[in-house]
Amino acid sequence: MTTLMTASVPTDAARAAVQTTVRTVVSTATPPPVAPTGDHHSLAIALFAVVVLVTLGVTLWVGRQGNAAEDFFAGGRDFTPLQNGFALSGDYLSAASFLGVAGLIALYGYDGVLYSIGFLVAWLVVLMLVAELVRNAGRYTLADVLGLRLRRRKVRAAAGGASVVVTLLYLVAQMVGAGSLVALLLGTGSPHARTWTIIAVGALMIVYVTIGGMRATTWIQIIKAFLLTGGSVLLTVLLVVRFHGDLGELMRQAAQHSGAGHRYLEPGLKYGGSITSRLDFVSLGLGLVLGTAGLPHILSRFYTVPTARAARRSTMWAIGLVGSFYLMAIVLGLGATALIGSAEVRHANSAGNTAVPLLALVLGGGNGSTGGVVLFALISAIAFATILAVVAGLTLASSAAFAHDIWAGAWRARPGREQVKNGRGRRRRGETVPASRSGKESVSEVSEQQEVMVARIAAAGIGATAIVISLFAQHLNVAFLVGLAFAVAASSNLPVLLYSLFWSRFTARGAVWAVYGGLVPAIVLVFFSPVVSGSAEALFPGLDFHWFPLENPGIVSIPLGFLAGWIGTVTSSEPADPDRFAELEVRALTGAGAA
Amino acid sequence: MPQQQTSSPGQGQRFDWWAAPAAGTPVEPAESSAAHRRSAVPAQSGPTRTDHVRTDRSAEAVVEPVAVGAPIHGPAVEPFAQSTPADPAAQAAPHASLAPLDEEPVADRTEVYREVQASAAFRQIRRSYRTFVFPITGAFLAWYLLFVAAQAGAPDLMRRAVAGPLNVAWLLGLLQFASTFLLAWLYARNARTKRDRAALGLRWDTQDQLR
Repeated sequence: MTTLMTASVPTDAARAAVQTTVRTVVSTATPPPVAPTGDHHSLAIALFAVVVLVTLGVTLWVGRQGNAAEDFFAGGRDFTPLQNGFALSGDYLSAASFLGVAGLIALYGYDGVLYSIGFLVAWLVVLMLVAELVRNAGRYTLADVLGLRLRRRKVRAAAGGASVVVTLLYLVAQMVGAGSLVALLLGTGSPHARTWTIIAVGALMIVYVTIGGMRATTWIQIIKAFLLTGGSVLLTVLLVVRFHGDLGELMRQAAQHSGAGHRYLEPGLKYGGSITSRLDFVSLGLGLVLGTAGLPHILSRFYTVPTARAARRSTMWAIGLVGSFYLMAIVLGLGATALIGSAEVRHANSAGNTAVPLLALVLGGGNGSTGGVVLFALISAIAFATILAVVAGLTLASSAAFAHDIWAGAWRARPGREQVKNGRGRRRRGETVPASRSGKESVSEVSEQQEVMVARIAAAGIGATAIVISLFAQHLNVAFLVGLAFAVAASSNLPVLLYSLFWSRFTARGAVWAVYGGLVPAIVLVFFSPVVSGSAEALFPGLDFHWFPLENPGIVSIPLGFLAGWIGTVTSSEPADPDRFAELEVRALTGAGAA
Repeated sequence: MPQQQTSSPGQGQRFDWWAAPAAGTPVEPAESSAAHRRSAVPAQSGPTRTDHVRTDRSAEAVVEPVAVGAPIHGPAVEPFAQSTPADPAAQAAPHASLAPLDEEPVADRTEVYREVQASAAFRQIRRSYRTFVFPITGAFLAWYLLFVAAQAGAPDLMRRAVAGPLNVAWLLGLLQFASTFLLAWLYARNARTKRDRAALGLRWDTQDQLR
């Protein structure tokens, strides 16, 4: 993912140069022809339009199925584990994973594989420590879990704020990437194409979220995950057939055409340069493994299934899908190198983002052949669907955190705690609501409706903000933002979540400290790191005020987050409330009173 | 979800008895649906309630049968099976028999949770969860970090060829995939066989006490 944007960011001149290189490469036609022709772009555009129409249709269709808070934030909680497993993997596998990881493997061989592993192992943390407990203890967001035992507005504000920050960082990274990527896939180097892509993607995601809420977003994720899996399987099968099932031969050929020989299959091509870069990779790996369990858009997915057991089973599906996806990405990355060659891949896009589409072109029969054109357009459309789905999921999570945690939980100070339920007045979960609270029901129905309204407005606002930031950032190198989002999630969301779930003495002060104690260092360290200034690929290449040597703050900021939570807790003047911990613990592990 | 609460243990318990909607459950009148939905609970813990809860038994005794019955299929199904015939009665009974429970003041909500938390059944669930999850989490995090650190720390070892184009680094990488799948499967199996049933029993029971 980090790679996704790296590529696309060169100046327009450079980009134009890349384009022409591609064309010339084709005409000289060294390895299999590898360049876009007019044909497959018009087909790709048609398929993009189909993706947009289908997703809009789904949005309108399911958007009518319910308007309660539970529908908007949790999709009515009636998805099956299989559906939610697909949706989880859809939310997780961004275009950066689809194109970026395979491209990274095409360029750097084993180091790309190494990179992909962190994304998968992370799911064990989600499965074992988070999924079921969060499903049982919360209603719509991560902060709900904390709110159950730490009933403080500042805790909600902190956790909600961290969620908004994480999703916004991720969102900007995705949208800037989307702009360059779509321009790349459509073969236009014009800056207008990129600008309009960002605006269109942003507008679409606002429409999906405001009209369809979680239900539509989930279905879009499912469709996207289905397309992504199908496309990967198709390419992998074609590739493996081409090599007569001999993966060893595939590896050998890849090494041969990589220009690096046997070093292609060994660690160190990308991350092995110096001690610093190795340490940087450890830092990145730590952030990836621990960050996933703190990503708000992943956590809120667990509320779309009815029970903790269903949450567990959806995570199992997601692990299966994500794992097989990365295995296929490895094969595809090797295949791109074997059939096209690293040099050509790098020519087409310096981060390798076009490796998979180009591979599709070759596997379909090469440039000019119908098969090649169709397959290229298909893969491009899948990448486009991937972008749309991921940004929609992020926008939804962000708006939920804003409306449910910051606005309703902290600003309006409505105790987020109780299951005072359900805008539809179905009151099915009423059983855990003490009688004394039932009087509040009508009030809370109103505020739930308001909450949804605020969430819709917030989605539009956050979407607009993301569009504006992305437009300003479209010529900057924002590749580090995804890594930063994972690092912030791992440094602020995960500590506070784990402490709340497992540490009986954890206090509100500890929670606030954990959130800010992870969030602030992560952002400050990145600000003073080589990705922002002081290097050729930095955000501000002309300046140099960096003093932190690593690009990924995780190795420092994650321990700091945990440490801050611990210090805040032990220095708390008021002790933890054992009653509330009892409630959280019992509810998290048994599901009593779960929403 | 209402459906899943409706899912009475009497039906489909061999498979997805947490989530499966009670297909056979007749449609209930809307106004009393909340109460009726709960009738799934009496169907299961009905006997225990009438026996113990009213006589102010704490969670332990109520839950014990379920927790003990955890070993998958055989015994655990029994209580449910027993109580199913009592269903019609239970359906009628709850309103009357539960009314007294409601008189329990709301403030005791936290007491219920404290009591359940202190109960042997809950402690057993928690122990079984933690003794599995904590060591395994530590192990796979250590295994992953060692794997990543080894790239930096022992590049020569990583380069050693194993078979064909495969070297140690690739082998370990593929093992990471394998171990992830394996641990996920082990965790799910552990949860399914060791915890799910007891946790569900305790859930209904806790909710009963909270009413």
